Amino acid sequence: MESIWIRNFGPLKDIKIDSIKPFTVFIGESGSGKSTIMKVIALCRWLYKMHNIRSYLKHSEISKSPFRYRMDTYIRNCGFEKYIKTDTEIIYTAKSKSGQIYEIKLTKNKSSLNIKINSDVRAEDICFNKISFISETRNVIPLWADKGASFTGGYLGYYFHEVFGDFDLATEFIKDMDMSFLDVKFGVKKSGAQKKYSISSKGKEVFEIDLKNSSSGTQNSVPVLLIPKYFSKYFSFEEAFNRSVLSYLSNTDRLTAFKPIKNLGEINKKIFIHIEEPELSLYPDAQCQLISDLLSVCFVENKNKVELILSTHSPYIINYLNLLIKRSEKKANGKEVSIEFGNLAVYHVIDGGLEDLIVQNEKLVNTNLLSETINSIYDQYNAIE
Amino acid sequence: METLLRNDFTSYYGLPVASGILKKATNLSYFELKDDVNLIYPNNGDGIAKYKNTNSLLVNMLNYEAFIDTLPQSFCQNRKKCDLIVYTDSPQYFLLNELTDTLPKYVDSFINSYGLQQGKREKAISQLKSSLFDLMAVSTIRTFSDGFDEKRCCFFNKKPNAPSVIIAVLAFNRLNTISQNGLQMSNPEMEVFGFSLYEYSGDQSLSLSQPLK
Repeated sequence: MESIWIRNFGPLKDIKIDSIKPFTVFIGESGSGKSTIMKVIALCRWLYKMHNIRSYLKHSEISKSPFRYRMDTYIRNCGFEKYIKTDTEIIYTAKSKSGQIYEIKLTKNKSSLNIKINSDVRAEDICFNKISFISETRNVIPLWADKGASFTGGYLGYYFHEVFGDFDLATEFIKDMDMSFLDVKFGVKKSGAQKKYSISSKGKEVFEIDLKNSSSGTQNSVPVLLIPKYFSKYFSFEEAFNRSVLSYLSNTDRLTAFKPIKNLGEINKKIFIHIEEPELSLYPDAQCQLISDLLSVCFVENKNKVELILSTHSPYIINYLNLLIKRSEKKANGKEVSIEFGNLAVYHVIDGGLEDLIVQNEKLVNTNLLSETINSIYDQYNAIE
Repeated sequence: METLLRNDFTSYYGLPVASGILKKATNLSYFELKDDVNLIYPNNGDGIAKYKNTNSLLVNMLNYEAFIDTLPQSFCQNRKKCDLIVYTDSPQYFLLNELTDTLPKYVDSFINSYGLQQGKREKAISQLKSSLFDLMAVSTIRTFSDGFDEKRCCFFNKKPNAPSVIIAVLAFNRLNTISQNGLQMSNPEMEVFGFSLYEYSGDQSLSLSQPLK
């Protein structure tokens, strides 16, 4: 179980979530801080992951960890430099099954944040997680992938390169993907080191075009489905561990000193996925169907355990959640995607704080605030004599 | 409650004793209210706050906003206040009410430069919260409210309407046809005082005969 408390950081004044649910959604106006919360949570989860690896190595008789916390770099990567205030405080906790609480506390230190962690992770509590952040800059992926070679040395920001890296990795494993909600299919063809991404028809009208020439909705939604699909179904923690930790030990001649206290198979593992505005450039129907497919990938077809956080502006997505809750409650049609009410949290980010939109006396998400605009339009309409 | 407001509330805040407070009472089995309690509406659709009172409890209504506005300007200026205090004669229900109308003339300060209204909901919650804090700071009022079984901060949204050929408004407000009794929302700051936050929209009504906790 995880909690987060963010105080006085950028647009956020006081944000407290006692228990981050497996599926969490943030809505709010542009600039309200939805993405900032997601980025802070993703950063804390990453720090906790690194702390687990350090603790694991320590227990395994490797006292000098290959990983150091370079908060200056992380803060710069996240674009947080201007967000830090004199009284900024971020507290992330992870509670293990045994009840042990591990706390990461970030406080202002000059122009960066100081990190304090309360204790090493006990051997029995060690976990190995993967964190993915699918930013709204994902729409550049098709162009970057096509022209990447000529952009060598170009830099489009940390989050773009993170999402591009995950996309690139995912397309090593997934060569085609149905996108029924757009009636198209995504395909990957490899020619030498170069990959070609295409969109082809599923319907009667036959066509195949480059991903970069497809609709903006398609370009935006391919990574939203593809990356979670890769992590939930194909990602191998063992390979990732070997790639990062064991290769480091091997390169530094410390592999013989490594006495693993636990096999990776015995360690708890989880994928954390964060997605900014999955609905970008999609028609309302397609927004709902994308969410249905995304939840299916993360929570139905998954082999790895997944937790998902979204930020959105879409009233359709938030209202659609009520249908998914009811399906779960009524066990409507076993094949249809549903959401267990207790696993869902929906927050409205406003005035630097959070408003919990989960209704307490019904199994519903309160979507009234998303009707304010449509009500206002027709109130104004009616007011004109 | 009138006396508590007139004497104890004003004394706590160092203000002169207030004059009359507009109060109404009813035991109608169904009634609706607007924000001034001058009139109690027995017919569905005439008011904003809808009450079902099937046990015909005697229900008192005080115009809290008007009361605050009678106090010295130094106190009432910029003070957030809800519209009504509603409580039963028997110690069952104690309710703060904020009635929100979507008509532009009522929410001018929430109209943005594009003519669209913003933040009505937040304004309502904020007015309820501030009123609750002001009231609960007065120990005798807190003791009085503590004696009630059910305490709520309620905001009532006026039922929206639109040209009959346009179904978007109806569609966007369909959530409120699912639940008849209002939506209880989490609000830890209100819950500290034993109050729950409820939101009522469309035809949702506050039932004064629900089984009490």
